[in-house]
Amino acid sequence: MRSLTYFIVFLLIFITGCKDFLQEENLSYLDEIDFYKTSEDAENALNAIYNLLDDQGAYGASYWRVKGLASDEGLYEGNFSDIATLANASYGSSNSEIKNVWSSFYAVAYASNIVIEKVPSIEMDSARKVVVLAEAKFFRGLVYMELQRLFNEVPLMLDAPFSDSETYLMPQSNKASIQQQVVTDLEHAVTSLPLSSAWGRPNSYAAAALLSRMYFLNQDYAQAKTWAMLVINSTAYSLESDVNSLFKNRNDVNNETIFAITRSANNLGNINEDLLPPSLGGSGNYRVPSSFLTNFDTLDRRLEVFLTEEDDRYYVTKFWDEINESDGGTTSVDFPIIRFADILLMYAECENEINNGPTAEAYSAVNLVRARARQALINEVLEVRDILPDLVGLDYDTFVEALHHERKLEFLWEGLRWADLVKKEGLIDAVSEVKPTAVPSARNYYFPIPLFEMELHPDWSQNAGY
Amino acid sequence: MRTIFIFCFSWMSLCFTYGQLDSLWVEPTSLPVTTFNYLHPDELLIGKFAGTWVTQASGAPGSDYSIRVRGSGSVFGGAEPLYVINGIPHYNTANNSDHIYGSGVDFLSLIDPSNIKEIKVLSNVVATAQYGSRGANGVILIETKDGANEPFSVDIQTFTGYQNTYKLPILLDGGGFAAYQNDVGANEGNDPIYTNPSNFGKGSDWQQQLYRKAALIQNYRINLNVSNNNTSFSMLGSYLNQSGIVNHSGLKRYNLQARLASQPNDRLSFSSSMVLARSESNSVLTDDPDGFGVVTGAYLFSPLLGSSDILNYQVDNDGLPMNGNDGRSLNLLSSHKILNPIALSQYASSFSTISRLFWSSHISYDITDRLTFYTQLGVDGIFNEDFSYFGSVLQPELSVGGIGMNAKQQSFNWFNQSYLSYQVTHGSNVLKAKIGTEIQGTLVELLSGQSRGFDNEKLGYYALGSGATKTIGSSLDEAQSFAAMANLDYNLRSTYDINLILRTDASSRFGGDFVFLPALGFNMDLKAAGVLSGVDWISGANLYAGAGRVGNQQIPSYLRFSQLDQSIFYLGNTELKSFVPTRIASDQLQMEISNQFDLGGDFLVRNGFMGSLEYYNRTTINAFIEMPMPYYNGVASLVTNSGVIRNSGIEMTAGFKNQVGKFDWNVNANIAFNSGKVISEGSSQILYGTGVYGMNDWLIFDEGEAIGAIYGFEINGMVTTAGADIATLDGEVAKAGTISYKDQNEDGLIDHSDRVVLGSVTPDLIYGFSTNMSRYGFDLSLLFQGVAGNEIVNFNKVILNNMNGTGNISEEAYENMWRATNQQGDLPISTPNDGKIVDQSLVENGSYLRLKYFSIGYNLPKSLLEKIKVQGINIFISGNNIFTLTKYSGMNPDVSLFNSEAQNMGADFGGYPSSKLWSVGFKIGL
Repeated sequence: MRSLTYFIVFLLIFITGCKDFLQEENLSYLDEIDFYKTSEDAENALNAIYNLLDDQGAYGASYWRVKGLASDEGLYEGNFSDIATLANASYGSSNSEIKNVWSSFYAVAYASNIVIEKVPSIEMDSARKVVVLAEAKFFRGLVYMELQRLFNEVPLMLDAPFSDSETYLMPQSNKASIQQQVVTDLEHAVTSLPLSSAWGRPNSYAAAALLSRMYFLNQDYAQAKTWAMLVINSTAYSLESDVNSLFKNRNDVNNETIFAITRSANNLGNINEDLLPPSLGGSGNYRVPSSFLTNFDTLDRRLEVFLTEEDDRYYVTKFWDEINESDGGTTSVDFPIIRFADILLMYAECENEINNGPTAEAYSAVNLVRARARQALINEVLEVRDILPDLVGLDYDTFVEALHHERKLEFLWEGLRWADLVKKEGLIDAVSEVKPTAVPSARNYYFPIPLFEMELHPDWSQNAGY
Repeated sequence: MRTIFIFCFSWMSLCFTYGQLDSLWVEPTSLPVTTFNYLHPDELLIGKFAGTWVTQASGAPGSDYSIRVRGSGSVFGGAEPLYVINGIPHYNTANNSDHIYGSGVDFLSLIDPSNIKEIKVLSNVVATAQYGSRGANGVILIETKDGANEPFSVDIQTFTGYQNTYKLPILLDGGGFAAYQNDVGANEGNDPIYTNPSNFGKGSDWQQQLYRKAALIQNYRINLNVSNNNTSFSMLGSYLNQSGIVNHSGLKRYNLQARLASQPNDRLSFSSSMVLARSESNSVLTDDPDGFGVVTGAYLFSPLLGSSDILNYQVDNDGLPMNGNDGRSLNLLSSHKILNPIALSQYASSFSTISRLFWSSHISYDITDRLTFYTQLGVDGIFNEDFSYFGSVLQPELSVGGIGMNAKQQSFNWFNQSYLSYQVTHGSNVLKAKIGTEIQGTLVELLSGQSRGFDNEKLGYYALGSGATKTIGSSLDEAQSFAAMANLDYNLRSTYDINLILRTDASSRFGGDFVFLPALGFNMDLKAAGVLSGVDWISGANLYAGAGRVGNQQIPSYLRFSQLDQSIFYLGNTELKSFVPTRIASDQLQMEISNQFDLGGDFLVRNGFMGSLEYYNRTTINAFIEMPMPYYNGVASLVTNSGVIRNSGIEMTAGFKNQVGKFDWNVNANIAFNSGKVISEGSSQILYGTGVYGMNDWLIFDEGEAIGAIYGFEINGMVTTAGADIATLDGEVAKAGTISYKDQNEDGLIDHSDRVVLGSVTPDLIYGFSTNMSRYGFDLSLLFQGVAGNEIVNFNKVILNNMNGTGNISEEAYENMWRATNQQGDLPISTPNDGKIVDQSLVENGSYLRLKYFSIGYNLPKSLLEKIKVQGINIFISGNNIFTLTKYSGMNPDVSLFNSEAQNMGADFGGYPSSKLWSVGFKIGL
């Protein structure tokens, strides 16, 4: 029996020592507990946002497919059904491209929430800390603005869960409360970001410009004008002399881009795989409807730079640097999120709306954009063409039409056309006009909330018509 | 612990163990008797045990088998059974690393099957509860030979055999392919490319060039057994050299195994066993879900090209690569780069070695007559090295050069089990009690390097330093577990037996929390109880029931931690580092727990017939789930315990043995019905299934559906006349010659929400039948096995039936292609998504019946043997995979692209084809 006693004693010693033995130590991965402690961690957490912004659905392929094809500026001839249904307005809630946009924007929101939650307690240079936090708020504001615009009532998540027990199910938020949060975040960014910033990083004016856009699309023209004027009056921005140097033959750092997704030889984009014709290394599946072009002057510099014609079909070359990327496919041309031309055109429209007709300031703003389109810098020689006369003598309605027309070409395939059509409630007509087989309806003013999320949230309500 | 033997048929080499007809004495005597040609220990399980489903994942030499005992007990965790080799438990894994091409060698294959004395499948809860938190998916017990009861014997065995492919798809030849290309062009309104397609004749037959017509296999074994009164010793040396049926692939295996058992006095006994084994294998790129492998390459690569062409070009009338508008050669495939399969098999090669050192010992000491101390200790080290090289010749359009990889992995597993047992006998009543602990640790360390751009390709993977760009990786996976167990067994008058197991288990993987896993079993000997007193023709029967809980912890380590991954990217021209969580912590993760109930009975009839019937019901109450998460929580999914799945079924076994004069005949037949259902899916249906050729989410996990339910589109039919009223997947007006799908939700759109369940990858029924007959020294053995009621997703059809002109197709598909002139054709000439759609056409019935093993042998007569002073000589011819009855159109219905992964069963795509093996050999017993 003595050995039994020994055995039991041994067992007890063993079990008490067991607690350490059964402790899992994770040496293969970094986890939250090891991280978010130093200033370098803070920077690496912030950098995650920039990395995710480049994702497929954020400002990558799915984004431009969804926005370009769902409007009247894109036709699709390929055989991928989720893309084809975007182009003919028959997309449903299970569309994978739409889901990509949703998931990528929420990934950016999550990375922003991490910075906003974790950085305040990190010991680091206090001035830098203010900027890190403000950049995170800028991006959170940006993606919630996009999400609300695309899907309307989306959940407004402001926490960053790191474990199963920190996750929770959220209700949908209404438009007003999402926009209130966007305003809070972006106003914080306006006051806390520096007036100038490195290429690819937002500054104070970028936040002001986004605020202007948000109010503009809400048709709150007084507020939109205030924020636009802040950018204009700063004199920090001006139009690039030729659209060719803004896009195809780019100057990475220019005075027109307020905020953009940067591209370089080290960070090539893939938009041209979609957009270019096959002879230039693209898919040839994405086209601009030819009827889209009939109202523009053939000498318009933008047509020359933005498009190419092949077998009576028009393809977007806006993002194609023909000198450095002769065989197409990749691009090192920045993808603009907001640029000064947009501020000018929004400002002109605000003036027109507020004063119930165009003012001198409105004319001068839109005419700056037109004047640029009339000239071309070819072999360093500025050629001014006899087209696009300055706008004069228009009334409220005709000025609105003229601006709308201007924006259509100026911002071709920059993801703005869809929102412009939604704002003017002209989406259905415009899409049916260029795509006879498409069946657009009022439901297309919002995209469907992805089926994946609807199944997880039985209490949510899907956008009408899906 | 010793299980209670109710009765045992030594003649049948089958035993009932607590009501389970689950034990098989592979070679009960040392005399050379004819057995089948087994190359892998898992083959011993095929067709022999009711309810044990064995699938050969890949036909590559040495690759692993997938085993399911009583259905799939886990979907998102591992569902393989626990292996216990000479008392040391572990999970079998294969060398399926990213650092080799094709399917890797399975670590279990390093145990020579011919040295196995006994293999058992435990599936009843009273048996599996002994293994507690690892028992839920069944337990395979393997004991190697120990030389007992053999004064002295030496057996020498050798065989030589040939393997060949048994079914290859018939593809279009050169002329047929050219004609097909013309048709594709015509459908798009283009002029014919080839003025006279038949000029191209046969063209290149890539499959014929890829596969060996007769791949040689050779095996040599020598086995020594010696014993005296209290000590026995057994030793085996063996060598296997197997060429693969795909050129440039093959396996060599060296084994040295020994076991010593001794009982120096009445109180003490011990046994030690060891395995020293090494395998060396060459593999080529097969079993690749993205379709870049040699098997899919041989399907797709244009027969109009020759062996020096690397890329799949379009050719012109003269057979020269055709140039597009931009002057570049037109590639046949745009979205998937397909390389010349012969060049790929030559220049993308892997070499890998595995060394396994296994040692196990136990000591048992009777402290008193009633009290015994037992301790078992084991270590198992597996060391493998992988070398791969991807030649620059395979990337003619790039200037990056070849890619060399080298990885070293070592896994180390140690185990100790100690207990005290107490036994008291009172008349014919026996009480046994046992108390003990079990402790185990596993560790896997990996170091890998990759390098590309070598100045001289001769050096390759042995000179990673000379490459231009290099990456290094390393990782560690460590887990420990502990269990305490008490067992009480009471046997009343050798008639009634009651067995109680109390066990508590903890694993570092689940935070070290103890989980209580009890089981209770009851058994009754009907004969002894007098129930069958009037029925003389039944010589024995018993009835048993058991209930209990068992666990499963097959899930990757560290899931309880969030994981931050680094990536390097450029913002403008600035290189930046970022860290972002790619996984958030499953901080509430627990092991899977199954509640199981069994009821059954066995009987033995006097004239040599026996049978067994069992019912089981195993409900996994907190099944691992890859739970979809709302995206605002940061990740798309999270592993939780929120599922409930149930496997229930009936197993029947019947055996018969008769001896009439010199004619011996025995038969074993078994059949099992299993129904595996998802009882609860957590919060919403889960789509899963790893991407195959760009198609993912081909399975669904949803309440009320079968485990492994296939999810896709139901076909409405061919569109023969264009119509605007027919809804299509791309929302376009339906064109003639396309396929239309059923609008399940009737919303006028065809999209992903119109998918439905199209079948299930798990069989409803598995069966086996084996028989052995011998007379006048001749013996004949046959083993048939089969499954029914399962479906296979035949992804190969996306290639073989795809009419978009991007590669070669099967002859049959071309005949069935819809054309204006062939309105009866049921294969669409144009499809959305390049035809990469999981629909009804890919889902096929996977039922089959196969003559798996065949053997005929002759034992030389005793009179002759005495003259030459040998114990026995046996000459045999044997065959594996002789014939298969199936409606399945692919090469092999017994297939799984993703090996033993529970998440991805039932996919067939470009796997290494399994082969037919015929061999001749002899055994000599000295």
